[in-house]
Amino acid sequence: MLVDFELVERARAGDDEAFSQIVGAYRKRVLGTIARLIGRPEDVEDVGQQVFMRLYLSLNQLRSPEVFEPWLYRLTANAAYDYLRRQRRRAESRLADLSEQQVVMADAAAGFQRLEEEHERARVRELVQSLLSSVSEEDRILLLLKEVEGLSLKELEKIYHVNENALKVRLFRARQRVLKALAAKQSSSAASKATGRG
Amino acid sequence: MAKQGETLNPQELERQLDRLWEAYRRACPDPEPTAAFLPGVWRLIEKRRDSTYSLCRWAQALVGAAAAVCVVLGILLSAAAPGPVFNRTTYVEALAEENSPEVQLYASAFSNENGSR
Repeated sequence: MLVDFELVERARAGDDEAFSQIVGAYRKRVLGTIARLIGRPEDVEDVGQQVFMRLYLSLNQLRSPEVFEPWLYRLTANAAYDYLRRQRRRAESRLADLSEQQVVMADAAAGFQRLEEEHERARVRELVQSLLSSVSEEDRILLLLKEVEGLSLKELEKIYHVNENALKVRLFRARQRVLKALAAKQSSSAASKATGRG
Repeated sequence: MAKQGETLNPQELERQLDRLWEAYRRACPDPEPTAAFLPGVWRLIEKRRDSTYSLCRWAQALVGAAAAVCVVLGILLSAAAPGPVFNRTTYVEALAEENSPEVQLYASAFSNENGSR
């Protein structure tokens, strides 16, 4: 816990100052999780603000301060899920624009070395995002919480209120789909390389 | 990471995916929140509070209006509908009406007719 239980209790009782302190303590972690879940840096703050707004409105539903962190993760996962759903509805893939935009930003901010690094990071982000498009939004979030955020099955159980075995099955299936997408991507790039050589 | 184009066995593919997750984590570091973050959160909360408050006020107004309509309709209905028969006359009036000369006349005429048969 980044804050003590007493602060959570005070926020639950309607102390706005206590709530602001909680936001201050958790915002960086929450924004980092959102950044990895949605993969679009420019929208991270908006989704993060949604998370804390929902936290404020739902604090009275929190059973006890001990479950505060799983609760916050749950709200974060829900907000990311809503965002991804909205993005899918818009049916537009702006990943290419994103990487270009980041490259331009990096160019302005630093020199060639930094530009190269940023370019590589953008490439990794794009690759992972394209692999994750092979699974549903729910599975994508679950997979990222496990594989990238490093949450244990016990922690995921507390967040999702689903038993460990069900989570294992879902994670296994989602991982298999991503592996399949990765294999397909590699074979297609191998084929295009071979065509290029030929 | 293995070079692209190589044929990978399942274990190597698994390892490659694990390395990719690590690389993704490094590629998406925790961003620094801007100074506008906390004010933005409070703005959203206030906005939601206002909309909830106005919704409550609308609901209250609606309930008040519905209650007023019910009262008015009740008054109108009670004024328009005739009262029950037993309320129109008192007991004494009803008894007197029963023994009025007209009723007595009819009654005696009826009994005479039956007697003659």
